[in-house]
Amino acid sequence: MVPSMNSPQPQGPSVRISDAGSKPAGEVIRLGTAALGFVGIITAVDARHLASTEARLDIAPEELEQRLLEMGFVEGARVEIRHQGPIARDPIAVRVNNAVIALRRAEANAIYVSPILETPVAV
Amino acid sequence: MSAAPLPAPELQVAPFSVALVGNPNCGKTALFNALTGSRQKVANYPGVTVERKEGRFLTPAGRAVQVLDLPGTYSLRARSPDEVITRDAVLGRLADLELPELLVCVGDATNLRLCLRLALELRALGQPMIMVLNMIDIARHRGMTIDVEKLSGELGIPVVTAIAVRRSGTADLLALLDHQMDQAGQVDRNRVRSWTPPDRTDMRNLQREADRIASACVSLPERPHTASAQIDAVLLHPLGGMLVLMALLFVMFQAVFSWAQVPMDLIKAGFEQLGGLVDATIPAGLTRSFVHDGLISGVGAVLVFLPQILILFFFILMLEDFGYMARAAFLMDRIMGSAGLHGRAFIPLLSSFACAIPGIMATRVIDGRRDRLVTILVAPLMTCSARIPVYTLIISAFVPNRIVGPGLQLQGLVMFGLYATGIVSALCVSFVFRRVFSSQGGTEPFILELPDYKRPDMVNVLMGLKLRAKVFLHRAGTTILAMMILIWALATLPRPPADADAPAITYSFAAKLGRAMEPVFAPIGFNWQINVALIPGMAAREVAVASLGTVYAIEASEESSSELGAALAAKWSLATALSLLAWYVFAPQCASTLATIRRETGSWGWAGVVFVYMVTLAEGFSFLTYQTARAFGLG
Repeated sequence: MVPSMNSPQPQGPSVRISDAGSKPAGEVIRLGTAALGFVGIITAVDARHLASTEARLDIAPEELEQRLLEMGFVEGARVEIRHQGPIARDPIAVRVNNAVIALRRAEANAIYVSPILETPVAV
Repeated sequence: MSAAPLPAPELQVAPFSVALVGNPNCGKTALFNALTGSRQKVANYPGVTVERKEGRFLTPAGRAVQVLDLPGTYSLRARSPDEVITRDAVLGRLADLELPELLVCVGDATNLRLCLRLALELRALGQPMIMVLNMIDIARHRGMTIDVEKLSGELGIPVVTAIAVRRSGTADLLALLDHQMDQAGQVDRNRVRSWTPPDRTDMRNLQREADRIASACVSLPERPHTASAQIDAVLLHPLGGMLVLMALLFVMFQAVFSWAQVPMDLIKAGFEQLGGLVDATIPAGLTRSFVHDGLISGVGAVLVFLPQILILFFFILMLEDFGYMARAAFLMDRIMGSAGLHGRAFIPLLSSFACAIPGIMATRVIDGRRDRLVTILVAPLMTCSARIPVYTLIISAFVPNRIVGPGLQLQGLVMFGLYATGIVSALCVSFVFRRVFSSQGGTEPFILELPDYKRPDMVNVLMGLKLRAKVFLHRAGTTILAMMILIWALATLPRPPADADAPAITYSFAAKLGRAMEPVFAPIGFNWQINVALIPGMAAREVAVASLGTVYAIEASEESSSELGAALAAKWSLATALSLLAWYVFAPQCASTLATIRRETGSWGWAGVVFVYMVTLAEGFSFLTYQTARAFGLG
């Protein structure tokens, strides 16, 4: 599978899929570009390539990465975009494993995800 | 001392010190309330305004425990001032606080993932530690099963379950505490001292380990929990969610007016009776004037607003407990972002509607320094409850009580307008400040957990209300009372000459002072009585109402100060009244707010900036209002 974005593939730790019964399908994309209802597995968390593509952030890329990790965005976690804000579809509310975390799309772009196909669960 | 030797009671031994640590929203405060009941006190950590909540209780074996409720955090790698306090308390770095003898890591049983990682971080310190799985009833209800024994084995620490909101819900924890005290181990101080924050690799490894433990010990139900998701489908809906938010705010402010009416009337009547009693027992003269006009009218005029303040705080506490506040921040982030504010600023700014001081203190949840500063600078523009007395007085005196639509009172509508003016000007001012600051950097990230909704716990809400009432009554009993005595003295002394033909107050210091201020305030339509009231109003906004009462009660001693509204309607033009309303939207009439800004920003400079910009806006807008109203013939 070939990444479609211009920035180099992030050098995150090896991908580990923890969700039994769900498998990666399709290309790795940035979470911030995904649509409402997207379901995927985090393949990498890396903020180093944000500066050129996104609105200026006040903190160092390493710091953003650390904060995302603190909120449970680690490689292998399952994410699902549940809601989006009223203006410019921003921010987004993402279910990470069992918790719901709100973040802006600009920040979500530091999270690389691969869509998964799974048996739909009644919501 | 009596001779009989008694075994030393356990109470005289220094209490066993316990610190509660956990993620935000894990029910830590509910657990703290359940353990300590009313035996808790709130103070500040030295130098910062982070609330330090401590309490004491006895275990079933009769041993005293001193428990510290630390601010919620996701990691010991602290960023905000709140989280720094938690880290420093856990590491024993606070000057006046010993290293806790036992760490109690509190986790929400329904959402263990992030909490387990924090537990692993804490465990690395090697301090005696236990874990409490709070809200276990909700987890069970949702069909989750947690193997507590296995979890305890994996973590290598004792684990108990708890239901903080139920009477017997902490029994296991209390029993465990007794057991822990028997075998309190030694703390390796060097290990604690040499702690270093986890880096990104550590964080990944810790989370992996936490996830492994969670999947080994927790089994999720086949059908996932959906209640929160269903509520969010409405409350986070791009359009529906915004409508609900606006409706909620509107209902909140209407309630402040309609619900508070009866208790306010009762308080007012009570103070009038008290005044009558004084008139009947104390002979006419300086003493009666002091007790009736100074003390009773003064304090009564302020206390009467307690119901409104409590209703406002009731809504805020309920919404917070319900889990709605984070959703409001989510909905508002982009809208506030266009004015240069962070989504997280919504909660502090909403609290500022009750009082700017807790609002400014609540900005500590904002990580970014500039985002936090902008929020602090505009928080005093939000209509705090101390403005309500002034607004109510003037609105009820000058705005007819008419129904202008279904459920719409004209008076309530004017009030809503004043609130709206405050909000709009706060947005404009923050936009300007953001522009000034924007030369130096971009925006802070907005990363916020949206906790599961839960039924608000009335005990917690009521305890929060009690605390707010205490703070308000304390203020009424100290600052405001002192100011009332001062204003009474200014308005009464010196006594008029024996052959005086004008009202007594025209001979007083207050009149001289008020007249001296006239050149500045005449262009905005203020008479010398208003000028007099503004001076003690610097201590606290609501004092101005009491001061007006005192000034006018003394001027026309026949008139009861409770009919202040009627007196004002007869003595002021509508232009003056509107101008005073405009003044109160903007004027920095609160010394405690300025002091809090100094403390939170670490310099008088920013307090000065706030004072200057607010006075400028107040004078400007009052001038505009007064001159416009006069042009329309209302002067």
